[in-house]
Amino acid sequence: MKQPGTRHAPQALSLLEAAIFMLRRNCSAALSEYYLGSLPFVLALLYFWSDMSRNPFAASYNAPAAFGMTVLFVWMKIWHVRYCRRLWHTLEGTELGTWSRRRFLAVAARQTAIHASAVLLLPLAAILAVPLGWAYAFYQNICVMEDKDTHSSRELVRRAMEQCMLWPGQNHLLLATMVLFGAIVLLNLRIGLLLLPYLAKWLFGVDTIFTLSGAHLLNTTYLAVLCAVTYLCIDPIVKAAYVLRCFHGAARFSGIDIRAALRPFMPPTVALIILFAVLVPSVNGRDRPSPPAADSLQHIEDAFDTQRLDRAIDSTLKQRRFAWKLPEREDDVKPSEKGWLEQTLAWLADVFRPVFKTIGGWIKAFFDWIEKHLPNPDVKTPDRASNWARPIRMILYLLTGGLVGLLLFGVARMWRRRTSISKPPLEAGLDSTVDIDDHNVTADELPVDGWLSLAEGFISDKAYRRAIRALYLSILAGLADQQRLVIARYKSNRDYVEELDRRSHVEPDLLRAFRWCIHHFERSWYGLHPVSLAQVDQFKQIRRTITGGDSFRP
Amino acid sequence: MGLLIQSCLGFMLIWYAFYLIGLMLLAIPDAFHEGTVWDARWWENQ
Repeated sequence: MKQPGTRHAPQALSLLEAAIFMLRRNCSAALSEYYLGSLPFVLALLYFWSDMSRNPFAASYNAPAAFGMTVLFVWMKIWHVRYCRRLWHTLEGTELGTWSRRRFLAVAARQTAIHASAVLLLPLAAILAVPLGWAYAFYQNICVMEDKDTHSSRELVRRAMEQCMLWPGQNHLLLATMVLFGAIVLLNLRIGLLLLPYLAKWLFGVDTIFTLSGAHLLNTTYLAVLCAVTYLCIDPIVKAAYVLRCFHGAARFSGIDIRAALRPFMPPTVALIILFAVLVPSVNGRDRPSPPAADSLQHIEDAFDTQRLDRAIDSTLKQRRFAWKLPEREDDVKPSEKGWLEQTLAWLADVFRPVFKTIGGWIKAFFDWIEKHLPNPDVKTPDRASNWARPIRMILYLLTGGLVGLLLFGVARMWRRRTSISKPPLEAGLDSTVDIDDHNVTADELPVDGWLSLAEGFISDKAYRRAIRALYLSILAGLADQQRLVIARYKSNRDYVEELDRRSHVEPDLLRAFRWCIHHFERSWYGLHPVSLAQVDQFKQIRRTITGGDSFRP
Repeated sequence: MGLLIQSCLGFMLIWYAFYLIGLMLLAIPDAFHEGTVWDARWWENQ
């Protein structure tokens, strides 16, 4: 069965993201309070750890040292409460005032009394594993829910328990993510602390015990430092996430999130009236809320800029995605007195007006920028000859104009080049840039149609030898298009025959036709044998056999 | 008064916990603290 309120549970990752965002926004005040409490305790704990680990006389003052640690632990918890309350007030949009001495003592007493049980319960929950998530959340909530209305430890425990039982899936996912994040932070710190002594040695030539031997990597103080710094890095985020979790949990019944959202827009009294009007029907559906007093409405109207609101609503409703839902009005259905051309132009003007306005704004901003950086010609100087401001302005205007002209010329040239590249193949075939007499010409320089057009041109000029070469290159281009050959400058005609033999050995006719073409091409091109029109026609016919798949009949 | 007693008891419990942690650290051999317990020659010494 689905737990009530689960539908409104914020996602764990969203909660963490919001927590980090909140910390970044209120970084200085909240974190300074957090570290004011945590740093003394963590430093003292590391000292205590190191001292108890190595000092042979430490056993004699273990009890007073533990007393000092307890005092610092309580001190830390007070500041954790203060940190959580500051974040809570940020969410509410209110200011966290100073605490009286009485409040400090009450918080210290309650936190000490409740957190003492953590010494037993948290290790026990960790051993049992399953209840650890709830137990950890409970002790975090103890810090979060300690507000000014808390009067007893029992009440605080009840509220913290309510929040820790809420949305268990979200809580466990939150903890799992933070454990993973903590492991990554620990690894980073480990690498950093490992490299730092070597960096000092490299930069300053300082040899430390860490560079002389690697034994420190396994000593317990080193590991304790790593864990302590990791704790200091991630615990503020964990606490911020639990503040958000409790805030959303409490908001289900108190509506504090709505109140916080409304706070920037209106005075507190109006916010309370609206909140009351919203909440009363949900408490008792039969009771109709009485209309607010006239002076309250006046307050609301004063608080909102009504004209601005109307404009915003109108512009939103005119959007296409909302317009189709609106009922048609008689004014809209009635045919307009304007002609169709006038209507179209008016519509176009409406559509493009914002675009022109924006471009106009850019141009104006550009000229304003130039005006700002140019010397002012209105400055009257006693010596007219020394008033150089106007000529300089003219020169700068000319330079700007020249620059714009150069830019337009470059764009036009680039456009022309692009259009010449994207010419259709047939048109490109007539390009006279391909020199058929050049021995370095390859078949992939023109498409098949291009070579055929070139061959037709040579035939009409009675340059049959060149026509044979153009036809032969068109055969190679056609076979390359059919993926039977790969054109390359270094390949000889024999290479092409072998390649075709490998790829088309099941088509003996094709191979024989290709060999015939090579033989006649080489005879005419390299052997200087005379070529007649009849030979060219025969070559054309064989070419069609090769590219069209007809049977070969020489 | 109830809160005062609760907080005093809590304080003493936390104090005792830290005292136990101190005792635990004192009871651990130096070789473990220094990390030399993981030395490879441990097997040879056995």
